[in-house]
Amino acid sequence: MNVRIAAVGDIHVGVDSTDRLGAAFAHVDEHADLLLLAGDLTRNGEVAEAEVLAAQLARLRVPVVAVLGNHDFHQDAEDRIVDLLHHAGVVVLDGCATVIDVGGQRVGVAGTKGFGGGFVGACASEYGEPEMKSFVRHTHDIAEGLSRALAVLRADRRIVLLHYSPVQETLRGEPLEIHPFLGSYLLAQAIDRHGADLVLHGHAHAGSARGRTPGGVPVRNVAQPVLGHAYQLLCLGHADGDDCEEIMRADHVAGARLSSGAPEPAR
Amino acid sequence: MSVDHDDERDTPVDYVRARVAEALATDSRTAELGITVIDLGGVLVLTGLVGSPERRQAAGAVAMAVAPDREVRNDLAVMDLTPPTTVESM
Repeated sequence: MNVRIAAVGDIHVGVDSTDRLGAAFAHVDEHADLLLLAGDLTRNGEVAEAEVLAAQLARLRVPVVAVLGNHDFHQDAEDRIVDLLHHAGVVVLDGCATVIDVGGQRVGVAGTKGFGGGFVGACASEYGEPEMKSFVRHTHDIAEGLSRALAVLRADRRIVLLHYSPVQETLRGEPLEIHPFLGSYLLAQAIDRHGADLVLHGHAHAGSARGRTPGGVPVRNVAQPVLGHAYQLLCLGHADGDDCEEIMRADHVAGARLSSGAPEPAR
Repeated sequence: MSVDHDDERDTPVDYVRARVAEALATDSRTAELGITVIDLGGVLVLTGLVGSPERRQAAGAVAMAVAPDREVRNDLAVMDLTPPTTVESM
C-alpha cells in the first residue's frame, strides 16, 4: 500500500491569503493521504493570520499535521495559534509524534520546529555568554525531544517534520554565512539514532530540494519558494515502485497528468 | 560614530543594504527573509521570490521608504502557487 504525502513549508499566510490558499489546496484531498506543513504557517505570527489558515484547513478532508516555524512565534501568540489549528483538526507537533492510519498502514510523523546552531565543523558551542549558551541549549533541548519522540514511535512508515534543516545539503543556495541560523546537525543526529524513512523541512527559501542525513535518511526541503508549486507530492511506495506508478497513471491535476518528477538538476 | 540620515548618500552602501534587508525581514507588511538586497553600482536591487504581486509591491515600498536617497530596483519574482503536476516516488 502506497502512502501519498503532500508537503509544504513557509506558506506565510496573511490576512489577505484566503483566495490564494484555497486555490493552492483545491486538489490536495484527491492526491494525498496526508498533508504535512513544515512551519512558518503565518506571515507575522498573528492570530488573525492563523484564523485564515485554520478556516482553510478545516475544509480539507485529508489529515493535516504541522510544526510551527520562527515566524509563528513572532507575536508571542504561538499557543493561541496552536489552539486555532487544533480546533480546525490539525495536529501540531512540538517534540512529539502522531500516527495516521493510511489504508491499514501506520504512518508515524515525529515533529518539532528545530533551531539553528550549525553543522559539523562550523557550529556553535554551549559556552560563553548566557545568550550564547541559551541559543545552543535550545537546539540541544529540541533535538533531545525529537529523539525521545522517535524512540517510542511505533509505525510502518516514519516521517520527521521540521522547520529548520537537519543537514547542510538542502541549504545550498543560501549564503554560507547564515547556515548556522538555518539548522543544526543535532537534528540529523537525533534522526539517525532512531531511523526514519523521510525528513521534511522548510525555512531555507533559497536552499536546495534534496539531501540526506549522514545516516542516509532522505531529506527534502519543502519551503514553498524552493518547490515552485503550492506543495510537493511524494509517494512512499513498496520497493518495487509499482504502487507509486499506479498513482502517476491514475491521477490528474486540473486536467494535467501527474508524472514522475525529473531528477533534481545539480547545483 | 552616529549616522546622520540627512547625509544618507554618504553612508556606505553596505549599511544601507543591511538596513533595507532588516526592514524587509521585520516590517509587518513584508516579513520576508527570502529577499536578497544587492548593490549594483549604487542601485539597490531586490531579488528573490515572494508569494503575491501585492507582497512584491509592498517589498518595493518598504525598501524605498528605508532608503529614500537610493535608487531601488524591484526584481522580485512572484511564486507559482499552482498545485504540482509531478510526484516524487520515494
